[in-house]
Amino acid sequence: MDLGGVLIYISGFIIMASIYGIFSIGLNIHWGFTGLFNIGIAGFFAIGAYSSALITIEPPDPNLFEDYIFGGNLPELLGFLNLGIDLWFFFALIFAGLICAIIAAPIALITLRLREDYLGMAALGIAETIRLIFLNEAWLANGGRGMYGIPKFLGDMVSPRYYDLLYALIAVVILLVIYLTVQRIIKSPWGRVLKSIREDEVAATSLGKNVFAFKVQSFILGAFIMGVGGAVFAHGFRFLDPFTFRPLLSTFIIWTMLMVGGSGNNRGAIAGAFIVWGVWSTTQFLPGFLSSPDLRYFMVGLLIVVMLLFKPSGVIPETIEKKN
Amino acid sequence: MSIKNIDYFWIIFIVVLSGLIIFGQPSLLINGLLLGFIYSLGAIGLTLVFGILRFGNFSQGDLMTLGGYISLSIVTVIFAGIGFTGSALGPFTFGLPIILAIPLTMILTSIIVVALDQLIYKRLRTRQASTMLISIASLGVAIMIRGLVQFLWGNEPEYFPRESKQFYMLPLDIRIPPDNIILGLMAVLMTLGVYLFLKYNKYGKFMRATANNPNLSLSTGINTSIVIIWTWIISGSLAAAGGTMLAVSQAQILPMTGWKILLPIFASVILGGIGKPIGALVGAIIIGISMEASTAWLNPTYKPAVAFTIMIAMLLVKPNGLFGEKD
Amino acid sequence: MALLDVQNIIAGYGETEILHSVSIQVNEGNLVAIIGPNGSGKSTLLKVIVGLLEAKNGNIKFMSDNITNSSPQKIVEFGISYVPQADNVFTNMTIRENLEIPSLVLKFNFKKRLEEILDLFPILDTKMNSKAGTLSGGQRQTLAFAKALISKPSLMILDEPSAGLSPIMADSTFETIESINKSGVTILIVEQNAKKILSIADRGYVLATGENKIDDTGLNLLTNPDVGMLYLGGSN
Repeated sequence: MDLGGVLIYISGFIIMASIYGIFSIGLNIHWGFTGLFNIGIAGFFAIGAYSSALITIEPPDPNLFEDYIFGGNLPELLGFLNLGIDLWFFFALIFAGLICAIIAAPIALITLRLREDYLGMAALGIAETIRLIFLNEAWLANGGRGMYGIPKFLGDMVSPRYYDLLYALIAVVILLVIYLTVQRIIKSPWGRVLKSIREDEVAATSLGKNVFAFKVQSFILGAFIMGVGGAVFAHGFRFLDPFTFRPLLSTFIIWTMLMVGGSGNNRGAIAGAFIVWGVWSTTQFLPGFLSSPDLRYFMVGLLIVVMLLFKPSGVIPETIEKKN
Repeated sequence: MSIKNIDYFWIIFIVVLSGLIIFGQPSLLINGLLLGFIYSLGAIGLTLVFGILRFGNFSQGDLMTLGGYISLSIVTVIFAGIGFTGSALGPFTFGLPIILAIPLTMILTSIIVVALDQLIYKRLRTRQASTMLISIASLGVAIMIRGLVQFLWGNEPEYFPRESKQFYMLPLDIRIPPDNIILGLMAVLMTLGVYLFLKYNKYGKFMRATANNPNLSLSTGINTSIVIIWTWIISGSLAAAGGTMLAVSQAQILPMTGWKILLPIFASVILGGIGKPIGALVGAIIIGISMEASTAWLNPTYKPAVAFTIMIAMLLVKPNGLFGEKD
Repeated sequence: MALLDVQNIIAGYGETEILHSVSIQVNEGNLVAIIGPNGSGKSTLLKVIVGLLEAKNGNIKFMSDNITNSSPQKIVEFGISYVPQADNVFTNMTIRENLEIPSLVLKFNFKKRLEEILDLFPILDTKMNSKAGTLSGGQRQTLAFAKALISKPSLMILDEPSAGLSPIMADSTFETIESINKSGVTILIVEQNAKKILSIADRGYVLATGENKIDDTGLNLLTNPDVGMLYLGGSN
């Protein structure tokens, strides 16, 4: 057994699981804490990933017949500001989150007043439209041909063969930072109001809380986090095309993760991400037709249904805090 | 219909029609109309489930896909296996086998959806799960169906047996595939059938009552369990028929065929008003025409975005839809 | 033997218990009223009787049948009609269709009964093809009554029929209820307007905080000072 190979494989797993963990936390803010049926995660995934890619990638080389017209070239741009440790990476992550937050704002204002299943359909439509735009407007991000050569964070520190080990560590750290930050936010006064809205919207309104404003803010926060997740993905994979952001692996699997792990609490979100991605990855190794990607597709759906029927609170149920 | 409803409808209709005349592509209007009839089969089923079961069935698109694949298998495997093949009828590309396959598919798909209801949705209803949770479950069902379809039939497009036929060439440079006419007609007939069922049949009336007031229906003695089963039978049959017709009109079927039109179907239902079958029909026609007409000046891949934009516009202006109650 | 015999009903919503062992009896041909302050569980009791809410404990007998926790469908088959307080007609269906539904459920001759009902409530005849949603409050009330009566029930259960009606309409409603009762239909009615209902009731039950307080003939309750106390005092 090649230890190096195994380590690389596990690193790859940890990278994707952590990225999905970030998304699950974002979705948890939308659905678990605010009851928003966001089945358009793919939209924020794409925007976050492409934003980070576009701001860091080199401008198009006229000799290569690339279709896209803008490359931010952030690593070069920052020059010595990088302080030798590729600080551009963090700026790119924040940038991706901000772009998602900015786009989320008008979406929230328009759609959040809708009834829940309408909101779902609207979210789906928006995500699909975003994907279509990236597909058709080649000047934006090379359309169907995809973007190559997205810069590597700290690429010089480790040999390419073992880079994934480093990036796995980075992904986990980012996940933890986000987890801790969100936990702080939840315990803050803002977070407590959000919780009271979830428990009894009518009571909260009668206490003078602008419920709608809180929902919008919550949507924007979740979108920011999803943007960061997309950016982490972009620099891990270093290749993007619109086909990456198809519904199953960029929206529905995240819903499965939240259902499995436990909607309403962030530890559950992370647990769900690792569990479901674990199941997804290991079914690759089942013998014969059992490893067929179509069966794995089927299994994702089955997991959602089974969890809803038999364990709706998830693997890590939310602890019910005493009311103040 | 109140005066206000009629105004909205005509305004939208005239705007769309003018747009088409301005851009001189009347054949898009006709084909869009016929496609709208096919969409309406999916939309009517969706709106019935919305009205009576009170949740958005996100698996409706994939049920249509399933129906299409089942028809294909019936024609290419079962019928062919027993030597029943038919040459194309008249000006159409398809023949008897597909026509006879459709009722069989409708029956099979009805059985499947009723089973899904009894195994999954009914359990959630007994537990008084929120409508959101049931919608999420239907999302899970959609993914299951798609995975199953991919597993059984593969990811490559499958083709219906067909013979090449001439398009109809009409004045004004209108080209119409004859298939679309007969398919559109069949869809209209099925819609009419549903309308008559709802208006005159005992269980049709029970369905309308349950959609209007589930508690009163219960205390009036209506057996709402049977009403629910009828709802799924109608919804499933129409989806199966619609999926088959869609596949025939596109000459091929893919696992994503139904999912791709989920957005337009939802848009149709919202446009027409949740729970109103006539609304679903009108909504589907408007969406169908708008999507086709948009290709005159917009990249065809953006067609779903057109449906989506109309849906959002409706939700902002009159969320209860054209035929829905006043806000 | 009472037509309807309700014994020791315990029922509620979720964790909350609303009815703490309530009993009533309705004799055949009588008009029995249940009165009491808001929140005393009157409507809840009706819902339990007609099978819309589960009785956690207790017994309900109708004639000689045990109807405890029967499905609402079975209740209708037993010959019991229930008129809820609000939303008691199908607003998207015409008057004719509303009246037709019971005949489809119980399979009796619609045409014949329709004529009889229209004799009783001629105002409905003018709007047979109008949707029930377009009717005025009083017309809807009439339709709700007609819909409950067309099946010739042995027992009619009414939940606050005068709620939301103008005093004139309310009076008219009570007259209608009285004449329905006189024609031989047993009626069990929950009412807020205690004075009006007690003056026409054979028997009355006063419920407060989910318990039986007093029961007596309608007239006696009218003149009983304790009844006023229970109403004004609310819960103890």
